[in-house]
Amino acid sequence: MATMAMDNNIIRVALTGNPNTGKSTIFNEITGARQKIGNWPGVTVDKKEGHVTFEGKHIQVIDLPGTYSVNARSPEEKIVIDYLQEAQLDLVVDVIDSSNLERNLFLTVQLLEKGIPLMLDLNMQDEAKRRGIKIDVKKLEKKLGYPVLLTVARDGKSIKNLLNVFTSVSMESYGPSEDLQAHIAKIQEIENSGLTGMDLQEAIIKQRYAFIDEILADVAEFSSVGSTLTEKLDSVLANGVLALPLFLAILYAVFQITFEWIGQPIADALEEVITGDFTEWVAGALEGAEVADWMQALILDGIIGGVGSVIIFVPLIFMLFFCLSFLDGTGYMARVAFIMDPIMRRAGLSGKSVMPLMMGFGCGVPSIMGARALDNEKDRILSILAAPFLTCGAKLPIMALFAAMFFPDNAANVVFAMYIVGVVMAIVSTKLLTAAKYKDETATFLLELPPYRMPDMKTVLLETWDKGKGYLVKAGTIIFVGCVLIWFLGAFNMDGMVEEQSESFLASIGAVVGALFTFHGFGNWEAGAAVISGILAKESVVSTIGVLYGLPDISAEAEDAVETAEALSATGMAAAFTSLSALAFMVFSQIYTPCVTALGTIKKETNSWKMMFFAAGYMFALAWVVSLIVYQGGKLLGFE
Amino acid sequence: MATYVIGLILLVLLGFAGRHVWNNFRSGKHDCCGSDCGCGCGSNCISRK
Repeated sequence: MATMAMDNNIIRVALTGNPNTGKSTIFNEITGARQKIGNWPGVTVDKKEGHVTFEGKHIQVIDLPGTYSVNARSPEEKIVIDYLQEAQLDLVVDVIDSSNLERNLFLTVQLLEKGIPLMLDLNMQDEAKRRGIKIDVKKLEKKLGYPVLLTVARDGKSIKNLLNVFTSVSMESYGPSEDLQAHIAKIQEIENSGLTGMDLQEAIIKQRYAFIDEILADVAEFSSVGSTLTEKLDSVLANGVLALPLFLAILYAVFQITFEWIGQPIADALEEVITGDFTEWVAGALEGAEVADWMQALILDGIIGGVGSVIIFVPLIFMLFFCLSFLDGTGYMARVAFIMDPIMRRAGLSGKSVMPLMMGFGCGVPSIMGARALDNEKDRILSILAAPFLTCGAKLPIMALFAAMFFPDNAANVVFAMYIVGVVMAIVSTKLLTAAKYKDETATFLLELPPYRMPDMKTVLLETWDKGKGYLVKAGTIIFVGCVLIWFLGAFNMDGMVEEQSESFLASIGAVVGALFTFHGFGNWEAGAAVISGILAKESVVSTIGVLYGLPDISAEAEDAVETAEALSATGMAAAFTSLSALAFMVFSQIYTPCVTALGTIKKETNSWKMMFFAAGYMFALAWVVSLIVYQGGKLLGFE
Repeated sequence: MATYVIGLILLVLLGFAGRHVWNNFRSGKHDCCGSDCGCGCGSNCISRK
């Protein structure tokens, strides 16, 4: 049972509840940026802690993982029940979706049975009202014996009320009501009845729902209000023939916002600053301080050229993550899983794989880890092997750079096409593996569709930052180290510093790999070096190109096409790639061997070196073949 | 002289960056996103039911 906190100066509050009840919104509203996200020990489940000072009192808030029950069947359920029973807490707030009382009260009743005193926060009152649900708070308090509060998570007044309650309510003055005690007695009776296994579970669940029905009959009024907005929207967005085309249209709009309307102009401005004023200022300062020429080259070409070429894409990454977080906040992303389910099933995966795979558009690593949520081995392995094909945030700069340079009039469309290539390859690969290894194994798919709502901007911005900051950290760490390494390899050989990069260590290594792509149109050592560095981290493909060719103009606007072409010829990339070989390179980069972090995660998740090496080799071979088909096929069709 | 000073600063920065990469490698962490469920599932994570 939760015990009172020992430290009188800190009020410790835990938030619990079902997923999609607005728990995280309440947590974000209360704690803002003052939160710490980590892992619960031993498991990869988010541990969120935040703090706030209200009326001179320090409050620590713990956002527990969302769960439907506490049977300790999953890591989330185990964490919730262990924490609530062992931690020293002043208050446990059970956040309830008021528009879905019956399902939410199951967890509430189960926690109360275990002797955990709760404050019930009947959240989403706006949604409940829209659905014609009216709850008598006083009656509910009397029925259970514990305090009840009505809130709308994004409403400042509700948050203030909650903070007032956190600082003023003492749970010691509450205890189980007679009705609750009678229910607990019935549960104990069932447990001692001699029933075992599934029969016992069924009897307990039946009693719990009987008690919930009794509560609802006493405290809630349901009036018919016809179809809700969610039902109306779902009839178009999630069902029927329009669902898939609308999904593609929404995705296309996201790409236009990111690559044409908002993200790209900001990226262009940032590029101008980095390649213009900033580089000139650094060059002037180094010259003035009489720094050696080789050190000047290392800083200007190696570090600013390399890291700078990655930093330029930060606005695109943040814009894309903002759009995806916004869509997630509206509840639409859950529909995407639903819409994609039939397609995934045809490929041999269950619809449940869609959600971890969708994480692959952010990063392959959590996508691979997310496959843990899948029930059977076949789905887990197939999902793990499909995730790296998707266009993660790190591949995005490669696509954006090549699209802007070689297809300046259609940059957004080409990048969009690359995302589609990733999805198609994930499906094709899964189909191939299913046919080769896994047959006749199916799994059921259960997914809760939350109601549509206007996303909370604070939550969207915090999520955007949470997802995008890793890109900045990587630019300052692994990319920085990689750029210095690539510069040294490109500036030296066994005889010392070289005049021409083509005589360097990097050229020798790159030439070996580059030879593999003789028939792909990019059989040069620079491309070979970029491919190798991409296995270290996908962003390194761009930073290597930045170091080897100098930072190119990435402008994608049609009116800048002439400038782009001039910049292109100035960098030497024009001689290295044609539009067709650039497209073949983009396709190869989209599909080939994932980065070392993703490979390490595959090893960790499958506990198999064999699977990791298979993934690395299989994806390289598949990329090699598809890229060859693109180049040679394009040539046959008369493209250059 | 300036070359040595800048070289030293770069070495220190490389040391910090290298240590971060090494620590990530040893502990199995990654920088791709702030939390394990943060790169795309947001509030709609699938329950493991």
